[in-house]
Amino acid sequence: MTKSENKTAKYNLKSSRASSLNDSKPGFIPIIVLLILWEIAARCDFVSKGLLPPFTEVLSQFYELIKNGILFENLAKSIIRVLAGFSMGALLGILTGTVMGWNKYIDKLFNPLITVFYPVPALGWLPILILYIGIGEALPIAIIFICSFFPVCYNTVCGIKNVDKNYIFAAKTMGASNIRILKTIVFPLALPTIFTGLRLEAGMAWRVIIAAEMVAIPTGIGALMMRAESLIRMDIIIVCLLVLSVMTFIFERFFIRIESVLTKWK
Amino acid sequence: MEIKTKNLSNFILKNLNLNIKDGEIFALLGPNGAGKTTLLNAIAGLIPYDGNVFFNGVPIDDLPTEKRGVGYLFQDLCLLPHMTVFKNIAYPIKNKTNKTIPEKKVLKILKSMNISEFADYYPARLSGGEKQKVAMARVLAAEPRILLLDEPFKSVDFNTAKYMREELKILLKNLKITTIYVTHNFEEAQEMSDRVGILINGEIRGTGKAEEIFFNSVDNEVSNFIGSPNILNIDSLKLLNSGLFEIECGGLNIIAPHNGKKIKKMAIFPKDIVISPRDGQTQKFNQFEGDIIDIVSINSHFKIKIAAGKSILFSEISKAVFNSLKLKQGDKVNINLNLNGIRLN
Amino acid sequence: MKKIAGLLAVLILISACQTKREKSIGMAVEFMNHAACAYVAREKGWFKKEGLRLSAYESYVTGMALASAMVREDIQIAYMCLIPAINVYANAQIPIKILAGTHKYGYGLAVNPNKIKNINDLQKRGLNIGCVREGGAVDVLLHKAMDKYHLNKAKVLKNIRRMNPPKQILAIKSGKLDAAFLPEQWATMAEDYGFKMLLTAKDVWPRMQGSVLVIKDDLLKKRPDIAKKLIAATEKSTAWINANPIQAMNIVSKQMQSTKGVLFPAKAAKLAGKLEINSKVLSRSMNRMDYTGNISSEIIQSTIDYMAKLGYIKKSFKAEEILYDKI
Repeated sequence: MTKSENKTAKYNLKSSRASSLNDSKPGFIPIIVLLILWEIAARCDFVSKGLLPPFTEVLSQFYELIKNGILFENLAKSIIRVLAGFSMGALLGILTGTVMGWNKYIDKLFNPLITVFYPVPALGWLPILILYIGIGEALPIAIIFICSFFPVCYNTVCGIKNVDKNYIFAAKTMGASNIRILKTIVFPLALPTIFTGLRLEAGMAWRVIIAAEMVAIPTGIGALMMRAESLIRMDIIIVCLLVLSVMTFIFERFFIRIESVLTKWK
Repeated sequence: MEIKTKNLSNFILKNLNLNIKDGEIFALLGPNGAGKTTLLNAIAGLIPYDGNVFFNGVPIDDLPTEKRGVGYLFQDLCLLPHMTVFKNIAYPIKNKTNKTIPEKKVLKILKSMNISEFADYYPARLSGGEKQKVAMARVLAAEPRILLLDEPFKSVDFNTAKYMREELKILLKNLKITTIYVTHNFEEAQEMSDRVGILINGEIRGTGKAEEIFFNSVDNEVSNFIGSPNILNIDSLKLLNSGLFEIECGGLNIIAPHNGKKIKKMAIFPKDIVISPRDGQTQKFNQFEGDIIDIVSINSHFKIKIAAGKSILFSEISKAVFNSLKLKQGDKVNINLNLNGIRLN
Repeated sequence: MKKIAGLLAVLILISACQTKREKSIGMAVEFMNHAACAYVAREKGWFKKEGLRLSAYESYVTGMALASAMVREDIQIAYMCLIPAINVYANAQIPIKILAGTHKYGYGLAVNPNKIKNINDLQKRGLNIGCVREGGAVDVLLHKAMDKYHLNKAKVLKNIRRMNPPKQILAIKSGKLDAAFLPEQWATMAEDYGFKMLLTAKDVWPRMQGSVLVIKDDLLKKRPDIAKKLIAATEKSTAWINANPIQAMNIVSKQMQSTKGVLFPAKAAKLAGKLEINSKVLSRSMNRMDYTGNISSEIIQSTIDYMAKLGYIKKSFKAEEILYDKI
């Protein structure tokens, strides 16, 4: 190998190693740096401990909350609400969106309603729902239902309508009936757009349930946060925020995984 | 299956009347926007139309697309991206039978098209030629009554397309399916079809064998579409040595290779008539003297009308060449014939 | 990554600088007649007479809201309920000292007499019982009541609806609550809407410390003279209230009316305006409280221990840590 060939080989090895490093470098490093800075800032009293307890204290409180069952008890409530509200909202949203996307007359009928209600933030419905439903388990489930239904419906309509018409034409020439085309061509091809909606709303459902529990519901992670706030327990508040972050991440990843299985053709 | 259209009209097509015989491969030629794909879509029932379409004399206008039994190869193939090659081919069969996928039948089709190895692939993984084969296999899998092929080799490279056309022609002849084959390439149409129809601005301007239309067209638009060839009547044919003939036509003695068959006409495209200044030197092979009668500017080139021998010929040159030669009406020039593109009939 | 580290460093520096800035003296009180001695001292000018120049005077609807404000804002002195004060010290880890007491008791359970006849009825299914959030004095009283009368905590807590006192009064007015654990004067106000006082703090928790006067350690260290001045003003004020109950009631009423407009912005003020804190209510309410500056370290200790038992503070601590050593 000549000198220049050797140099080129070394450069290629270095750059390929660098690029593989860049690909495999975990995103944990910024988080670890942040945690270290946090610990230092809290321990050295740069920020009042009341406002920012050290990370290690937060971890210790996390363990305590698991040990005494308070965290699981409240988390379980929140999970059940999210699952119930989201699954109902998403299912109905997909069903309604499919029918609207497929049938232009039904679309014309419902589109104005969806357009009016879609922009209303889910929490905006809280006062009305408190009056109509009262404060019980139905309330958070209803809020999550609303939070999920409209965006999923909207995304489904878009997904169905945006399927290339040529595929539908091709299917017709291959002898497929309208229902068969909807089932085997249009709906599967709309899945990526539908899943975008599901993924986004899965995370949003968690944000909404926390807010609803903070305002109106006596149990759940949000309610636990409010109790912690009135007791000035910043460590518990931070634990709740971390739990919220993890739950949102898990739910979103779940849908990403399902999507990758159902749309592996992409 | 005989196909007939009567006064077929819509936003593009204008009272179109066609008759295609059973088992015939009918090439539909025309420029972009002529209505070729629209015609196919109308026959397939994908778009609304006025007038009638008949299959074997039976009107099918009330039949929805899925009941017409049409095999349609779309211009962009429309392979279902979310289904494997196997499932793509099985799809029309399943629609027909509504039973479980007939695995043996699909595998047989895959084998016959030499695409068995792609059975589990998704279309995104396939090359242009492979996709085209899969699309064709899918179209034939449903055993259609007629075939509509919309520029089937558009996305395939030249050599692959040539080879695939040969295979396709053999296949179609064996299957004896009435086929409408859309293309905008005259050579391809001539190669593939039994008859050709020229569609311009939604109207059929002529149907017949390719050579007939090429050499006998009186319609200016048709002539422009096929390249506006200079058609010369052949006066005599003299063998010079093996394979080389002196062809006398229109006062010009052209030396050209030929197989000796009797010919009546010669076509030379304007782009194959090269103009050069007359420099007084000895005339070369296939170089003749001519006088410029007229010069017309068309877009990015010039059409030069030249009197040469007893003929009036049209040459086509680019603006750059025209400017460099500084030609004007009345100039005496040499015309050099490029025989690569000549056609004999 | 470098950028993130740099940004964080800047933020930390800024907050460090903030703590070093010279702070003006801010005082906070609760929007209740618990803070009567503060209202009276202010009205009579006794804070000024003692040489106390206050740059801010803030009022908060609940002790918890005041406690949160102490953590983040420039409040160095507060007249607040003992229990939120313990939260500030133990949970928020803000070093404070209790300089004096202001009253004993001052909390009660008001009930709809048609639905709740005795304390055991609180366990009935489907009731709506108002109470402030965890960490409030009334909430701790609720737990004390459940302990004393051996009530099923799970059943009672299921009926609890957490809301602040003005919201509870509005809910009582609109028939949405069947009972309410409230601090005075709100507890007495509930009687105006048909409720009856079933229990008071006296019945449940003998010698219960109500509100206290607290000061942040920072200020105390900088100005040790302030403690004496505050204690003097408070003692004077407390004695005057006991000697002149009617005038005291008038002063409190006047102060609360003028505070209402500041406390509740625009629309909320309109709503709160529907709640008449009239002099009869105030008078009855103030009679239910013992205005005294006496403070017992045993009671403070037992309160701290009870809060630790409830899990409101992580662990108990010695009352001496929070009590001003000159008491």
